[in-house]
Amino acid sequence: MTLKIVDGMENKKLCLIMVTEDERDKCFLTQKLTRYMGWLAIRCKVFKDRDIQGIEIKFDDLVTNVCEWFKEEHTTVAILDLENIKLSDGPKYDSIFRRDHIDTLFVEYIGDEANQDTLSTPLESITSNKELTDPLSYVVLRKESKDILVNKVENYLQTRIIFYVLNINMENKSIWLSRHGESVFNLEEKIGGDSSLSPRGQKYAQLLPDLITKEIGESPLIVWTSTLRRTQETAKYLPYKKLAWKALDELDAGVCDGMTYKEIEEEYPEDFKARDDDKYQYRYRGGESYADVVNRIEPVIMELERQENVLIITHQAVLRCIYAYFMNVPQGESPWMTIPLHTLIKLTPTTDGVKVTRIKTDIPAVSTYKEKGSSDITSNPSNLSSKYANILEEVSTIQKI
Amino acid sequence: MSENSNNVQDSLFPEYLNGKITCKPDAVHEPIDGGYPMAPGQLYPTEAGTLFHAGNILIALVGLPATSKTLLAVAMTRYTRWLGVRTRSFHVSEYRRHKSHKKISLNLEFEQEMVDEVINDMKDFFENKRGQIAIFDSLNILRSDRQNLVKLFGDINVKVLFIESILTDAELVNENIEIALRSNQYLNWRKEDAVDYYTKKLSITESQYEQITREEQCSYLKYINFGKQLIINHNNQFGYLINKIVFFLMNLRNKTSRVYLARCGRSNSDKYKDDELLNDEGIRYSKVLTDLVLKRVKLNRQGKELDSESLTIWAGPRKRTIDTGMFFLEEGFTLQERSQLKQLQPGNVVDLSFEEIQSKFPKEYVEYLKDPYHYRFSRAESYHDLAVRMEPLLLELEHMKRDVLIIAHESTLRILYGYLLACTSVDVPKLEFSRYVLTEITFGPFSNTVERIPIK
Repeated sequence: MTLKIVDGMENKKLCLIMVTEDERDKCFLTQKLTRYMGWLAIRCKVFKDRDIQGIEIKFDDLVTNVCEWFKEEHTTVAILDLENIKLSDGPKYDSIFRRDHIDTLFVEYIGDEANQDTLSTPLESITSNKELTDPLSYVVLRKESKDILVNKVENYLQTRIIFYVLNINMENKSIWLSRHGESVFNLEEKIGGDSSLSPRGQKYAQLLPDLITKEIGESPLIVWTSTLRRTQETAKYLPYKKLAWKALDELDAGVCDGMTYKEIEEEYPEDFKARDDDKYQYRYRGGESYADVVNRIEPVIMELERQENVLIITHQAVLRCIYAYFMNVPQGESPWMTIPLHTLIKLTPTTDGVKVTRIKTDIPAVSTYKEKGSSDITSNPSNLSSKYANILEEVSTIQKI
Repeated sequence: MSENSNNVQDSLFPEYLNGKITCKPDAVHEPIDGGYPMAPGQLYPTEAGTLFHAGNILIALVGLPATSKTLLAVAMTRYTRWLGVRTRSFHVSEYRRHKSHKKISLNLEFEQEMVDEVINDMKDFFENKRGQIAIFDSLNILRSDRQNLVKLFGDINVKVLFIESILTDAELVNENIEIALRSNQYLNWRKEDAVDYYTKKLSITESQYEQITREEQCSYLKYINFGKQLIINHNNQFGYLINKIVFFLMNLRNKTSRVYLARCGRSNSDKYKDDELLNDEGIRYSKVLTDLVLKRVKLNRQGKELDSESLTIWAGPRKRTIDTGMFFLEEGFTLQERSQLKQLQPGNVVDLSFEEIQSKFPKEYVEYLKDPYHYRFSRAESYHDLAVRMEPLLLELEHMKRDVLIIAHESTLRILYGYLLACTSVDVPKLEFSRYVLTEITFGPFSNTVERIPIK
């Protein structure tokens, strides 16, 4: 959700302490949690016990670093990514941070068989009284059985993080994103509406099954569309299970639905300018803002974390929000990213970050990118209003990670 | 002192609609048929009106008598209905109560009859009432009962999740027995009879009880000592909706506390744009409010002395709202300014009367009347937006075991009341909170109760 949600949490400080045997798992989880904090607009930082050169940072120094950081404004969550954490040290960490009014939450991801020296006892014997007086707050995720154990969770922020963890799928998988094929309204430079595909858009729909099959072969896939005609027509030839989500519908332009940017500029000049000034927060008359879209797609994002391979066919604004979630793009920048038509984007989460691959088809399509301060549609954004404006230009650098 | 309501934003919404609602009892047990106007926090429905592509789910509670099963069933119903899910709770104890008016001795055949009747009604709920979640409040302590449920409902394509409530903390157990004895089931019973009946029932069931184990291979959640510890074993097969319920259960506490809702006192212009302190009348009001609330809190504590922990005050982030709580500070209580209590953002209709909106924005006005809950005036929030933004606060309310007084704008009070009393989206915009009335809502395991107390 958005910034508003964390209001009133200003005084809450939380230290997440990651406990896993497997370095790769830890990176993966840490990265996901960092991304989720970004999505909630919660200020978060990862602390490691090795510096860039790999030299160990002493425990006392690390604690000092964390506590110093928490003195800065709006700092809310520190994630401790330590190389060798002994679980018997749990209470020590807890009491050190508690002195500075910082709550702790241990996040343990561990194989079902590995029971020795963990925070938790085997799940079966959990109802003994000793366990219930256990003062630490923790969540344990079992690798194979996917069992989850939650102990002593006291505040909203902790429950929110565990809610997210409940949805995480640690398997390797990819997510494909595509806008619908070129629509009749795209050709007419109109926004919104519920028009059908143009002939070129239909060609893209026919090509899509081959494109996807080449990518995933025999692997299973599920296709999500919005409830609007142009996304369902685009998915028409795909031989996979399809689900339509109302939450994936295009940003509602309210009274401007079905107008061109030129018409909007003429009829609602003040609105036109207001939107360019703060595109993330601007809400169309009777319609939505990007912030609204981010709010309403939370269930979709959670389901995405849970699912195996997914192809999402949706709309420009919604794709920008989903892309921003995976790529940690700041909220204010996301509305200015270019996401061209007839292009398939593949996101693969890895331990170092999300890898992006672009698969551009040779079916031509109009551009729908409106530059800041003008009602012109352009295929070559010139006065880029943000470094994220042309995400696809950045592909090569992102891939290198 | 003039009633300058003609230019007051906050008295504007209910007065011009068909009838205000001043007091509405808890609707959490209302049947939901056909076009029941589902609830305030609704996000976006998917096919066939079910939320989140989650399919149909039976949540069956498991546990000994007096392990808060009823409270859990009702609380989950309230929360999921608020999210917009078509949920209904089915309580075997209620069926029993309606069937038999005399004090019955334990009769296992009769018990089984009741259970079968409930199961039939739940099937009907899924098959004919477009229900999405049914919550089954029964003992379900036998493995064979549980397997039977999985089979019966699997056949009609309903997934089953068991929530087993386990209490090992002696204090919690006693608290629960007290609450159970005050429930509907023992209405008009002599206390000794109730204790006797209850003890018998407990000893019979305890000897039969088979806790859920992994070997049963069903999906379950063990809810231990009211959320102190949770064990989840459902292979993440239910998705967003059930995870959201788990999230809710982590925030829930058993409580018999009260929530008091009050408006702020008057300021000179009483406008949105002027963030003023209270005027003299407002200060008098806040004094009377303070005395009344403290009197009520004391009364409900049955003679126990008040201390600074007995009550918390939350105020909306406006000068006059915080000012209204100032006398509580003098009495030693804590007052927290809560930004989530910020009133419905009025946008372009700020400080306009309803007639003024009608003449200035005729088109918008017509649209607004069609759906006051979801409609947004230009630059404004809808009640739906407000509900979504207030969710963390609602969860915090569920977490608090002490009494809380909330001083806020009428729009936010509507959302709070709407959640606590399970109002529909049609009702919420019509709820009326006049100044001079204190609303007292008491958490109950089966339903919440409400009382309106005049502020003189």
